[in-house]
Amino acid sequence: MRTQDVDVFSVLAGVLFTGLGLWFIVEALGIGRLDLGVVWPVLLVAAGVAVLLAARSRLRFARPES
Amino acid sequence: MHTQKPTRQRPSSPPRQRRSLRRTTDDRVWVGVAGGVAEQISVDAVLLRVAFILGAAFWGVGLVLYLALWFIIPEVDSPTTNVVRPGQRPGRFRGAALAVAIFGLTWLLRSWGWLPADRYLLPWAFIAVGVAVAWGRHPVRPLPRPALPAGPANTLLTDIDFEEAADDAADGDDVADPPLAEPNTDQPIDDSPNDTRRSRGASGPAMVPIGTLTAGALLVACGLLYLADDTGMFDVSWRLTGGVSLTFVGMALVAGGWWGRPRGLIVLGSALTVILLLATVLQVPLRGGVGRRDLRPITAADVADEYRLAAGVFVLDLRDVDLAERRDVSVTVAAGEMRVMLPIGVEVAIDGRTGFGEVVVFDRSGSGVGVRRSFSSDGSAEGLWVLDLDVGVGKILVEQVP
Repeated sequence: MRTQDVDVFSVLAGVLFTGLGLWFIVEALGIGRLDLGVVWPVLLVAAGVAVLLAARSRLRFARPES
Repeated sequence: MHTQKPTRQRPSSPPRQRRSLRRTTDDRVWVGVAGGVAEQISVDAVLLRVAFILGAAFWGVGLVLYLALWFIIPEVDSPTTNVVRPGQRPGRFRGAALAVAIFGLTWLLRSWGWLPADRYLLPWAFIAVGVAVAWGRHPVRPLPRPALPAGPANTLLTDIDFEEAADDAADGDDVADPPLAEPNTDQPIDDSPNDTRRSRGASGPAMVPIGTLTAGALLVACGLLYLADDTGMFDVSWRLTGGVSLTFVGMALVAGGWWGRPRGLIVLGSALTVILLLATVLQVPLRGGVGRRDLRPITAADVADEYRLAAGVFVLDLRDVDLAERRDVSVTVAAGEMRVMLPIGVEVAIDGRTGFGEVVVFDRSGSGVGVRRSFSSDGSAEGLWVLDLDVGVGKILVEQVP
């Protein structure tokens, strides 16, 4: 079965925004508390993963031909 | 047995032509700021406009930024950039015209007293702009495909099934590449439909304008929630609205990863995240003026229940006040420094918070994001000061001074 090519960046960013959005909802409803000290590292990790993915895709195209 | 796969030279991407940032003349709703910036960073201009509108709802940041960019960015020299194909945009402009009409009508009804308050203007504006964005006609663009090198090698490439190749690449398989000759750059690609090199690369599965549709739906939903809150139907906090919006954008991005590649939504999601985080950090009212304020009350009657400063330095010296009964005082500084001086040995209960900065309450200190330090004297005695101290960004210093 033929599948559509997946845009990894969009999916990754989507998962990150969904998580953060749910976090804000949880805090707004008073169920939990948004600890800002955790948000920044999560954003940093996400940015790092995005950079690694970008580097990986670049490496695939820059691979030396045999 | 290992067989060597035939190899081909991967086409090198053409050098990217970087144009200087200009306000556009042909993709504009107002002065072409969003269109120009969108062209420069290759995102949908509609999403940038939505981000500016959302930003404007938060202390007018979006509006100020837009005006600053209007002042900074020069207009494009000629209308040759941003070429708009005939019939591509009028639906969007028609939608914008509708938005302006609704906005004006709302204003008019308010001035006649038929709408009770200013607050109804903003939700209607959200709804109107959202309808305009979603209602505008969106060209269905093809998904991007690999650029093809010019030359006779393309007669071989035209036989490759790109979707099959994409499947293989997604599965982690190497594509069985046919042998290719050196790219022949002598033969230019023409625009004729018979030129398979261009037509092959330009065609492909349709890209759903999921980003624009999401932005429009989001604005309409925000406007309706805003309206429901204002009319008292239910209590909707801005944090809940922002959280729901961010979740909505995130889910649209995940879905769009398969169907539309809506990377412009990343801009919108990032803007929402920054706004929500800033608003979470800066939960201090932006009131009370700007500058330095030194207060040294002599009696308890001179002490107010609350003090507000928008930005600057606030010094509250309570050393001369001899309290006979408990007194609650609230002090907020949105951005800057707050210093509270107390006499030695006085009974106090202090709660100091800052969104970003440093809090020092006697010997207890902390710095960073979302810092809170509290102190309470043992037991209670007459003359207990209860101090509620908030600084959005900056420093809180509470000390005992003889």
